Amino acid sequence: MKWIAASIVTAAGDLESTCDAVRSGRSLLRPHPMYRPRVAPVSARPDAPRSWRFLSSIDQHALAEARSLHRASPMPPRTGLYVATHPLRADWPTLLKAMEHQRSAHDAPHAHGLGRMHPLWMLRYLPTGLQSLLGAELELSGDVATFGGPTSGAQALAAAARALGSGDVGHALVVGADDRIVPEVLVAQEAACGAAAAALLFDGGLDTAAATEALHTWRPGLRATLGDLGSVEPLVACALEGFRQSAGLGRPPP
Amino acid sequence: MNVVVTGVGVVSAFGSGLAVLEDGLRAHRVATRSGPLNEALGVPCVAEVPDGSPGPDRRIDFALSAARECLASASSPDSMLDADATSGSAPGPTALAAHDAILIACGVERAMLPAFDPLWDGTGVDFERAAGATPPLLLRGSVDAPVRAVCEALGHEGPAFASSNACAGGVIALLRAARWVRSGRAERVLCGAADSMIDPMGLGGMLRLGTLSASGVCRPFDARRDGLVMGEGAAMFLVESERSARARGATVWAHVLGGGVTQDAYRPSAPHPEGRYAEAAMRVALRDHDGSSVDYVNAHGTGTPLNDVAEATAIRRAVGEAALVSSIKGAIGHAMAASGAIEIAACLLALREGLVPGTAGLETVDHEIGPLNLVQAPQETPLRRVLCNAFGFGGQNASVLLGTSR
Repeated sequence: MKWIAASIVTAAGDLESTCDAVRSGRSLLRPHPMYRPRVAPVSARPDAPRSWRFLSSIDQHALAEARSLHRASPMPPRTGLYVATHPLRADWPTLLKAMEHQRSAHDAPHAHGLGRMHPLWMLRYLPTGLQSLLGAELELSGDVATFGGPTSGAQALAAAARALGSGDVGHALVVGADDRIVPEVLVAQEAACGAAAAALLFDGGLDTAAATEALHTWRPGLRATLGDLGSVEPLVACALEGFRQSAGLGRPPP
Repeated sequence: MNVVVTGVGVVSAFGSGLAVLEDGLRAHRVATRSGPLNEALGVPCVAEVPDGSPGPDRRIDFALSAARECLASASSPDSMLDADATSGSAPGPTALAAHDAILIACGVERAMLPAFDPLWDGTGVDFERAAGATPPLLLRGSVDAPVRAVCEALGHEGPAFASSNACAGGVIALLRAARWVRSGRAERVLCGAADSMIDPMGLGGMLRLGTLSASGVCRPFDARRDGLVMGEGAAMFLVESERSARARGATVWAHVLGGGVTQDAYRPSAPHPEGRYAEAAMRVALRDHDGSSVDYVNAHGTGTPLNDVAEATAIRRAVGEAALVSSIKGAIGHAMAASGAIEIAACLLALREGLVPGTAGLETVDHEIGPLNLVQAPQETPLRRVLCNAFGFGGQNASVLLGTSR
């Protein structure tokens, strides 16, 4: 798994810290105060300018990771952008303010609830917000695709591999984020839940077989250490595998 | 490798089926109407699919209906595709082979607001009650639900993708499908888009954004245009190599001659004012063809003040002033992620039937639009090359060039 640059954030911290935590088998999971599953949240908040305010916190982390790659070395020409969005989840702090006045879906909901929301609130509801800001921040105006759903990370990697393989792009930036520490997820499952954001820049060193192998290599350790990272898990696994290989480290314990 | 479209299925505000879309466009009808939801929100009208499913996620029904019509239309006596299996009852496992792929642009998922009512105690939502509810309480749909439903209905176990590229999604899905076929990574791809945002969250959110027409009339390129009318629907296509299509005796609807995908890299809430990257998407689509060879442009044409001026400028620069230009959003509303796919279906009709759709709602062209060969009422004229634009909120731009031959 050869990437040119990669940057991630998890409960363990950055790429190197996450690799250390997983390889050492040191669990970062802790009890949740309200729900059964143990959790490993990303506690730090990204340094987000005002223009990012309609992204969720974990999407802001993804944008920050991609921006750090760009600042270290500007994105090359003909870089395609492939984004994995997490299954869309409610922005409860905003929605609860609206629902406080909401009576039912067909009882003048706009007057009672939705009308109280910020005019640009809809930007939080649209899946392309992260992609749009990535384009603007990193000055990427070429090939682009955003994928949704629980397998969006794998889909984004596959799309990037296809675009690189066909020569349609010279480089591929794959970005994703997921935060499963939300009520709708926590009430529905027993497994530990985590959060992560990742940005990886590839040239030719990406193929789906290598990405699948990376996921198989790292998934057990990731889940034991950080919980289920959802749609971003394949990206984190690829980042870790590339780091492991470049640093000459051994494989993580099974 | 030449890539062709051999099947098409549509669900639009005119109803289900490509023939229904053709009838509506030929008659220059407007499918917008009013219902209880939009009235409750203070929105004049919407463009709902008539007799659409009352189910919690209408995207699924639209996607299934369009997929079945598409595969049925792609079938032929010598086809590997099983026409009987796609008739609408229970599609069989032979509808797509394992090495075929499915790619559907899915828009946004629906929040089931009524489901929250019993969980709301005045200060918060009791999610533990949701977890224990019988029958299970569905609080939100899943963004990729249409893909999973189509895969299940067709018994498809091969590659399947759910993309979320806002209103450019339908065109981007077709272009990615063409790329996969061209690269040999898939024999055939069932691709398209399905979306519905005619729900309290979707309609309410767009209302807050100020993009909906206060007059209730979508008027693309018109001096009095004041926004879009929310629509819904789906369109699906079967994309394969020309060699594969000829080998199985399939009818070729169109050749995919080129495509371009760009993003504005500008702002999340407004298009680039000069349509610079919309123009770039068209130029990439026309890479192997002269802009003057385009007979017709199906514009994104939302009827919003910002989009139409930027798009007109971009069309003029990339294609010139001679090509016929129209938008069908005045007739069927803006079906969001599905809009580009439904408009590709209109382009296939244009190529096959010589039917250039009119621009419903257009009476007086805004002087800011500038010189453009805008079509107000439907026309019949032979067409060889058509360009279909789809631009997404947040700055995604996609254009596809379709033709009757290479």
